[in-house]
Amino acid sequence: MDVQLKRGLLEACVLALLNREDSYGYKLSQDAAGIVEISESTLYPILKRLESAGAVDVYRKEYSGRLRKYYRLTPPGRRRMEEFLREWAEITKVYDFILEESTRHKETGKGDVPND
Amino acid sequence: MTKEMFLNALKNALHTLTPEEQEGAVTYFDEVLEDLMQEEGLTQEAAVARMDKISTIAERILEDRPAGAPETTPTNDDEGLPGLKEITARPQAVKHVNIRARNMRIIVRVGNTEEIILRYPEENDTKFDFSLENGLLSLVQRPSDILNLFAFRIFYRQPYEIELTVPSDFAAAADIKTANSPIRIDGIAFWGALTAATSNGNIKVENVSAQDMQITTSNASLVVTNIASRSDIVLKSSNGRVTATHAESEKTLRITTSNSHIECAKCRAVDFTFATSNARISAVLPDQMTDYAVTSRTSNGSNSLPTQYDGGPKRLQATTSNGSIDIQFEG
Repeated sequence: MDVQLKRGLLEACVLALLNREDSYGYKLSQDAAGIVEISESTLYPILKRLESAGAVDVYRKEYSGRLRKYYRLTPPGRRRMEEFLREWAEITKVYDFILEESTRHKETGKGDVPND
Repeated sequence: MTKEMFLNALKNALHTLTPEEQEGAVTYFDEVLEDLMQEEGLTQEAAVARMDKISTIAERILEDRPAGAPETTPTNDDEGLPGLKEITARPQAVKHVNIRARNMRIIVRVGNTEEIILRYPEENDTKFDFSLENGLLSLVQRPSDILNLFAFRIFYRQPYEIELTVPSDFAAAADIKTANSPIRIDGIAFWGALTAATSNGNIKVENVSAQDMQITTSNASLVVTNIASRSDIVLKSSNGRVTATHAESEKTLRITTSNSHIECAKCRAVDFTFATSNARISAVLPDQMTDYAVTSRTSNGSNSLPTQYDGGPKRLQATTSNGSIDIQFEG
């Protein structure tokens, strides 16, 4: 998948997971695993980016004797997620167009396509 | 590879980054490895084996460093007072100001026309979320983290205060809220509505105009001087005195409190409402009583108004109990 596209998708995915509940690195990658393959090395930069954008904030909570870092969705983060969904409607439109056009060429045969 | 070897190697691979950034990454992967060992019962080596190659991790972190400055730049803690943040924004970029704080005084004053400056304290147990998106400048204090055992308050610091300086002619609305602390607003013409609220802290608003004005406190006094609104002005306290001088509304001026006086002089409005209990209402209103439809009520106090009078077209309502009503007319 295209890197930029995947990055945006994963970002929104993390926001959606945090919309469900506050979470931490290991759990986020586990929870995302059912939907999309996301390794810790991909997840960490995404969390950093979301944190510095104010989309998530971070707090520490004691867990079996150590302080675990939890991520929490902020109101700007929620807006960002909603914005993503709105943008997605546009992307779907473009996708539909690409799909339609590509099938049309298939149907009319290769004669219409100029040779390089 | 043990966890320690892995984390050391990661730190080395990130040597071009700031110590803080290195530490952030190391802490993160340390935690992930701990979780893997704890939750899946893996050995250190098995947990490390589940990670990507160190070169891959470092590459992804390095390529993702922020590029290009954002529209606003929170300055670092090493500038100015310790723990004092300052944010500067262009006035054109702000259509609405939203501040939510507590135990922190809020002061809004006039600055220059080129920029809006927001200063707020930030330290261990006092954190804010700041954002500027679609014209909304928002500063929201986070709930204190009770579980953070390391949080301690630094007493030698400056008093807790948020200061917002804006152009005197400010093309925006403002909604500011704190608790247990005073609010001061002076010398600003807001193009939008102004909402200011606190509790257990007094409010002073001087030389201010706004579309709509709603000013609320409790257990403390509320003083407004020389304020104007194209629409309603609502002043509300409880157990605190409310004093309005030169308050001009093109619609309603409503003042309510309890167990405390209401005083109103040189005010203008089409509809005056004064309500308190166990205290006096005193006012001098424009025009003559015959210009008003009057409703008034008190018990155990003298009343300068008739209880019901069908003048017009303006309206005047005054109610209290155990207190006198003394309303005179300029006309």
